[in-house]
Amino acid sequence: MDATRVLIVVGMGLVTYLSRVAPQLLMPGRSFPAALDRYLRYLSYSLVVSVISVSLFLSRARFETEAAPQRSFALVAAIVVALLTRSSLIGMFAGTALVLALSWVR
Amino acid sequence: MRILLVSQMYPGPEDPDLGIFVANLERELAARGHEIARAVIDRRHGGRLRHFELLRDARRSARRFRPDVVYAHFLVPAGLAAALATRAPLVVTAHGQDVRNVGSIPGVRAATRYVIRRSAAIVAVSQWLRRSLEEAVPDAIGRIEVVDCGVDLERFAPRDAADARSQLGFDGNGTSFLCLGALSERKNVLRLARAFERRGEGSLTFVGDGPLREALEGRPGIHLAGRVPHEAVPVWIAFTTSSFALGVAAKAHGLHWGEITLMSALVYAGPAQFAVLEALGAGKPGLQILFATLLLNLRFLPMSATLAPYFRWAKGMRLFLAAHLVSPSSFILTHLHVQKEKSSPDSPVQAEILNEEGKYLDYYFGVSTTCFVVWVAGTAFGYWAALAVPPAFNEGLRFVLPGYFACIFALEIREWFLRLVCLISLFVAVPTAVLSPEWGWLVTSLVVATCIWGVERWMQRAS
Repeated sequence: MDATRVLIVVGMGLVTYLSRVAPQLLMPGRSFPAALDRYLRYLSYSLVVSVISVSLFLSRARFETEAAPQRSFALVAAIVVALLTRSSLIGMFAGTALVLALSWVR
Repeated sequence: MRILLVSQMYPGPEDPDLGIFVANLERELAARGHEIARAVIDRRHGGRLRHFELLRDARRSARRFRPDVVYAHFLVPAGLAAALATRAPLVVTAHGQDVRNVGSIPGVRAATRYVIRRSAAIVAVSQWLRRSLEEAVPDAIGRIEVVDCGVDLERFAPRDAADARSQLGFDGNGTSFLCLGALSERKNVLRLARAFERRGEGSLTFVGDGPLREALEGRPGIHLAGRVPHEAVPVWIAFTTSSFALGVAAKAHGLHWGEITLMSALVYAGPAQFAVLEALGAGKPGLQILFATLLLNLRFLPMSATLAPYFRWAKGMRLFLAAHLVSPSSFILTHLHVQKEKSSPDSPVQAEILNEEGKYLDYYFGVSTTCFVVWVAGTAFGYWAALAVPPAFNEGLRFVLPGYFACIFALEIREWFLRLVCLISLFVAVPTAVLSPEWGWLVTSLVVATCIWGVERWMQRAS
């Protein structure tokens, strides 16, 4: 294991624990503002979608021109299959199979 | 349309799993705009006398409600009670045991024949049951529609099976089998147990309860999880795939097995773990990773605040653990459980509930501990499975987790503002990440979320 990475992981654990324990210590018995709750919801979705986008299309800050079309196509196909079957798992498998097949054909 | 629902099986405070399919059916009918009244039995105990109570309730409800249609789930006694209660058109569903009772219980054949003749429409939940009913009561020939009870695909969408495995105490050795249902002769659970024993490996867990419980207890490899609230089952079944996919993705990003397992144990937050995989694998600055983790996990603030009253009974290590185990699954299940108990007509007054919240803490620990164990074990198992994948499949491994999250979002997001947040983030994150590899996507997310939130607030105020 890489020592720097382990340190970062421990730091992540501490940061996450803070966000979990802070309401217990700072605001017991008080409700969380609805507007802020909503903002955090938007923020978390935005972050995850950004990561999906970046991890699919970038490699070391470089746009992967060759692979991008097939990954985009597989992503759209996965979403369509998930919507049709009402199953995220089936959608994921369909997209993975498609992206694999396209990478082998290329 | 005004529909009177009559059933001798319906979930109640003592028996939350009783006839859950009838409650689901009622919910769907109500969602389509129908007005529903019900005359139901919501407990297992009470003997045959309950059936007379059902008839009495059905008559009262019919007088008060004046239904356009009366719908009975089960031929006898529900169908009979519905037929005798009102002259409204009767729709009746044959479910299984009600057909088997014809010929085996004196008087049921005649009662069933009367219900069939009185019905405007007859439904059987399978082709096999349609044939059985036609054989038992020839008056039904040609009049039966087959409509199965269906499955709630949103509730039972595959999610984290690892969650389910840990909550049920699977140890991960060999094949794990799960049987959901009553422990009764009719469900053939003893034969299943014998077949499992002949196999000689793995584990078999029964989720449910019934008269054969004692006969199943103490057998090697067989676990009895008991009866569980219906709403917890899909979470158990679903918690596997995300943690497994995370393990697979960690391997694809070049992380060590110990690193990702440690991360699952210490961070225990799927989206944040997923978000930093690429950055961690590429050796990006620690500060950026910690900042992203903080932003993503701020969502725990409102969850933790909501759960805070139940943690008042936790001290020392229990409080430490209670805080660490907060997750969307444990939060939702506990919150729903408490709300359900508080809204029950038999529930004590609010003040008494507040004095009992220690018991909700126990419930929370039961749900959250098992979720946690499954999450960590599932991640490790996913990584281990990815090791066996040849390099030619790396492109697929890389797609697994983004694809999975994208599918989950596509299925779950119904709000237009949230859809807008996701769409804009999807298209803007890449160019900004090219411009600034370290901070581009983070700043993008902050700006997009803030702008859409601001627009929404502004529109709310304007309206």
